[in-house]
Amino acid sequence: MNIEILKLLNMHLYKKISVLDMLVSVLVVVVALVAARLVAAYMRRTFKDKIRKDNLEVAIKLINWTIVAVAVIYALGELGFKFSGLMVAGGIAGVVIGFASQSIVGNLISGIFLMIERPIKIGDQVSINDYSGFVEDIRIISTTLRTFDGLYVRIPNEKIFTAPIVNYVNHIVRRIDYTVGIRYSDDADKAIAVIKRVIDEYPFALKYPAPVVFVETLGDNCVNIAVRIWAPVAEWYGAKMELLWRIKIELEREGMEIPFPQRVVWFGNELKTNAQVRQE
Amino acid sequence: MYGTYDIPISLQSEGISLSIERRDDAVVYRRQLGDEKAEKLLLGGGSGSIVINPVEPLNLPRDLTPYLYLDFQSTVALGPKMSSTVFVTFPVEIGVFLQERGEVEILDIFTLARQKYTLYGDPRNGLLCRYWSTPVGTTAPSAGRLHEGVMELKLANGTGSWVEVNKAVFSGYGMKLFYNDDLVGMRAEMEVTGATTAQTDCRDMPLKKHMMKSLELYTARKLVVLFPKFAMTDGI
Repeated sequence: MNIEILKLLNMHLYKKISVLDMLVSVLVVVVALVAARLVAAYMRRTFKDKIRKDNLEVAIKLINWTIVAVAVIYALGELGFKFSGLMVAGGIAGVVIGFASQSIVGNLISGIFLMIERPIKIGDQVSINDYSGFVEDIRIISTTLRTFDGLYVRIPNEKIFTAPIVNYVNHIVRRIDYTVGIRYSDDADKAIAVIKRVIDEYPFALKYPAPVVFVETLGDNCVNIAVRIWAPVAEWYGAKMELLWRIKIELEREGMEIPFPQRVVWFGNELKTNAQVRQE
Repeated sequence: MYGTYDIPISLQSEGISLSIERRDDAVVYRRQLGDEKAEKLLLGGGSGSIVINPVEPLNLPRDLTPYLYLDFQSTVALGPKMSSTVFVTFPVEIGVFLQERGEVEILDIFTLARQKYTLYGDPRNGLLCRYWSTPVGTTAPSAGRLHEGVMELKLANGTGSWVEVNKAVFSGYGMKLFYNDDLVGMRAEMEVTGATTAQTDCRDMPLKKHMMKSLELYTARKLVVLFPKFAMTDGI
């Protein structure tokens, strides 16, 4: 029985490559894949609160790829693969593979440059090629987004690299812009003071850069007051939603109204009406 | 309100209502401040004690930044190579801790102080800070210890010319708060190194004798403190 197994293991599959060599090579790659996963899990658990998520993911990928690459090179060596042969075969194979994998290589190189240049990071809120959402992962070939309405979007890295990228959270603060209309009969100075008070009382409306409130335009129906407020980028959306309503409520409490669109019509002649008043 | 208590407790002060009581095998923590309520059910606790003390004012309304920006209401001018001590105020947050078998767990943080943020520096490279506007004087101001604390700030001008100081930014990682029955206090230093640059640091010394040292929130969170000093490079 044992002799049969030994014979089977020593049986040559191709030239000098035996079954044993093949098994060892496969085993090395499988162990490397498992080890890479274990290392990734260990690193995520250990460094979760100590390293930023995007940095951690890049480091994990780098280590994973290194482990797998070393294992594959070793396994190929076990199978008698001579890398010096690549120099000769590389010329022809390179042309063939190059044509076949043009877009893959393009994406790969773009992915490497994206990881070096880092215009986006995992977790960032971005807008790329008409897609807006959170960056879920930056892989070597493609980047995945989770749109704000929860859709999964995969974008090839080459497209990201050549497309304009809007990163909403790259800077620590972001401005909120409103235009608030009040009636012509309302006191604009008082309205500005009320709006400034509301902003001052709101914690996420930054003290510096100072908020700016001013009469921007004299509109058809109202006096338009421009409001510019800076907020921490992490609180920007919540602040934008909440502040406008607070301003509206406070203005109304002070007797000022946001007018409806209106038009004054002048008649050339006296307007004649034919109305009957019914008396009981 | 500050101090160490055995469970159960029931406290009321300046609009704060706080109680911790045993219910079956659990401990129930309740706190109300205005419309804001907090309630926690603690399982497996109850033999420990409750510590209530002022903590680094950097946690509310959100844990966004570890930096505190003190905006001086009046400018301080300091002569060449001079050093002097001024008193300023800082906001106080109140931390409730459960201390049991050598372990400290944060139960709650709340504040009566005004909450506001600001940017130190420009929008591209600036630093988000908790904002506090403070009077500046050569004597300690009176401060309600549940609202604000008093900081003794030693200013040192290391330059050869007059400098004007309008603000100070501190890292929360180095803050050491002390309290007694009258006030919450902290000591800090600010060394002016240029017309627009300075380095700030908090000192591990009480403002007065026999003051109790606060349990630090960053210690309770088991964070490693690496940079307690702060280099102000965007204006002073």
